[in-house]
Amino acid sequence: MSYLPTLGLAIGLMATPLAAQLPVGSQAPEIETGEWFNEPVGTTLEDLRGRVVFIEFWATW
Amino acid sequence: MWGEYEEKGLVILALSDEGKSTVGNFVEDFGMTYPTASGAKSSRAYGVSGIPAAFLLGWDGRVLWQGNPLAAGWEGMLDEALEEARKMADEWDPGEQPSYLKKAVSHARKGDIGKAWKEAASLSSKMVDDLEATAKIKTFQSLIEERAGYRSAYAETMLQQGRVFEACEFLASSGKVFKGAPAEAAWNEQIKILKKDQKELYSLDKKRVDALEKAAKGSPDKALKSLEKLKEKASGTPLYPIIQEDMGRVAAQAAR
Repeated sequence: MSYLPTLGLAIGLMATPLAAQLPVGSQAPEIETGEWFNEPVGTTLEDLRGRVVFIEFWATW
Repeated sequence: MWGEYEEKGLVILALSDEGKSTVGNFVEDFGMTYPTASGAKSSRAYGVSGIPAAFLLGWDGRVLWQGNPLAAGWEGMLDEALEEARKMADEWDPGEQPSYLKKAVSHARKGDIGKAWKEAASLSSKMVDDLEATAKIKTFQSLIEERAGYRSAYAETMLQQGRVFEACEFLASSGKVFKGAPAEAAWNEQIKILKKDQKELYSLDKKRVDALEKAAKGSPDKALKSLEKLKEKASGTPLYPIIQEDMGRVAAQAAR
């Protein structure tokens, strides 16, 4: 029965990222930000309704 | 690469949770040209656990693709998404048209599709003896009807899923853009009929949308309770699997 904990762990690892990330088909929640650079066309998704938007989460490091 | 996409109409937003000066200096040093935000607090809401992570959103604000932006994959969906956005946009370019349609074209470009229709209709009655002109005006009007058709089809997809309230809201807002065109009257009639004939689904769907708004405002637990009740009532209707999906998403949000 020693395989049981390993199996549980494997399922856990598989399930977590899938469940966490906002899935395809869902309505994207409004974004919350601080200061903007490069004059955004709109600062909220509400302003951008009707446009195709690519949101990238990134960091300088 | 990004410039090319932006020219096509894509809006790129880069979000960092780092401070203003860190992001600002980076934007300047590396000559980043697209909108970039510092101090972003959206990772949790989007379920982002590692970076880079990206989301492609369609014209209606729904997620079309999500994943690692470096892994491409989304690029193949972009043209179709942009085309879909062009079809559903209020503002629209009818292309080369005769000079007497100048006013109508200008209305269309500004997104006053109803005014464009009315202008064309009044021209048509003034130029009734000019067969060539009336034919051209008719062609212009058929372009408007075609655009109305895209919206009807979108509403139809929602109706098939039992999202009667959402469909009615969408048709009502479309009616404002097409005010005075035949589509407006047809949609108003459709809304009236739907509210009467699909009264129960309409009310269930309205409560579902209310619950999702609660979740969006930061009360996923309350939203889940409402959705749980609604799911029982929606048993046997096309709305049932939709509510089930909503519950999955809200539960994920609550767990974050």
